[in-house]
Amino acid sequence: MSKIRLFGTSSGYVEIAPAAAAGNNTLTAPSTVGEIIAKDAAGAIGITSMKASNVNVGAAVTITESGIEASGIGITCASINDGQISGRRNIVINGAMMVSQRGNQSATSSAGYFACDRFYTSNGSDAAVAVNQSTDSPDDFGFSYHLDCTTADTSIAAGQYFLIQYRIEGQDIQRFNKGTSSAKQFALSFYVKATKTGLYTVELEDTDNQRQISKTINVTDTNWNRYVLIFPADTSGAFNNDQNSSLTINWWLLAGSTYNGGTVNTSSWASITQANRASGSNVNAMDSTSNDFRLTGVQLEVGDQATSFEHRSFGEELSLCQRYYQRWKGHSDHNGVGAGRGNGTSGVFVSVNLIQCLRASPSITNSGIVVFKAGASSTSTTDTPSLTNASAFDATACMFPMSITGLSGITNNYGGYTVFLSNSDLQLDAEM
Amino acid sequence: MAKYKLRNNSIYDASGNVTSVYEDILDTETKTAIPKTTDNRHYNEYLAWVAEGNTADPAD
Repeated sequence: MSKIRLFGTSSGYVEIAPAAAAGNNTLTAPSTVGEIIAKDAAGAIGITSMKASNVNVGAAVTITESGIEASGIGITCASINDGQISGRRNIVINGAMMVSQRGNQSATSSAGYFACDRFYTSNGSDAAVAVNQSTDSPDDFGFSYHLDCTTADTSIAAGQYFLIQYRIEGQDIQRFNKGTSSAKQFALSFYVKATKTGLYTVELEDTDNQRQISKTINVTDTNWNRYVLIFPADTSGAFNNDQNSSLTINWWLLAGSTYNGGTVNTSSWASITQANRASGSNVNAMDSTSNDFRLTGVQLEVGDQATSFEHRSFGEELSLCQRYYQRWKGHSDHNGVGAGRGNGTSGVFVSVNLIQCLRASPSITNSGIVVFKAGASSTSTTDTPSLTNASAFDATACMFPMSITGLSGITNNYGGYTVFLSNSDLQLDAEM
Repeated sequence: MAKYKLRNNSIYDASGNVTSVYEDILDTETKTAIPKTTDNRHYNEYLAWVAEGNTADPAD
């Protein structure tokens, strides 16, 4: 086809040639300075390269190498990183370690929920640790989860381990579409400061389907550092859509050969082979009483990009934590928990109005209750109360039916009993 | 004393008669009452303890 050449006042010319493809195309002459728009037959605008330092769309949007600035109506898009755009991107509760309902734990070799809510110390070794909510934290954070090794384990038996765990309900992670062809990636980010440098394994464990995948981080200094791990999607093994634990994040601080004797599985999700869960080069972070390990800023989100940590208020985090653990402070018969009725001559039923609906039927810890009745002397017990019965509890109702025993002078089926805590806290534990 | 002890808890009707009895488990070390439901992690730990060949103290 013909070409058009435009000659200037000096040598050289601009040549306009038609596209090789068949069909009609339109080249619109500038209507204002700087605008040249090429359209195909369907009216679509094509741009193959932009060499200018920035692109302006009207006065509202500027695109530069640094990003996109939209001062007009903003940006309309369906998702970010294939996930939700904002608000509750972070699936992890208390990732900034702000909430510590249980308080610090002195040296212990036991496993359990200590110090910062929702994070579990899983100790299957001979080591002992003190577990603290530490104020040693990176910029933008106020707290960290601190393990202070108080008894070292320098000789690791095959089956020994030491993990920090975070367990997640299945109904809260359906967005990953695990077990389907639409499965999505997992972006995990966190901050670590550790005395013990070297390789640590971080694992995602699907406890519904006994599948797992691991990644490693290399802690090269003793400063705070942020780590980002992108785990692949898994088209096998859907998470159960219920209130029980489906996914556990494991930070391996010590691993015996039962868990690191094979080849650590880092490539794709697979059925659990115990020997492939941790790296053979995983450090032993419990090999000296000089060792400290700190963790904070934990965030798990959908997609292949880890975004900045999603900070939430203390009140929000506390409320989210109380789905799993609630504590009423006992203090010299000053703190009441509810009114009850007599059950036999030595027991009282009381309905405790929960602070937050609990995930599941809780365990109860308490060893000091005082029951008052108008016009009568009080009666007390050190018996641990019980959940009245399984059918009386409803996880969607913020009420806890509690049975108190070991009392005296109770009139069966009479009301008017008020239940107070003496010097023993009432703790309800519905953790996973 | 074993780590766990079974407990029977009675529910009385208006006439003072026992209408039903339900069982829970007391962790004798932590003084924690454990409901018998697999949604509860302590109950699952108890089941694992039993599976290892241990036996809880019987209810009074």
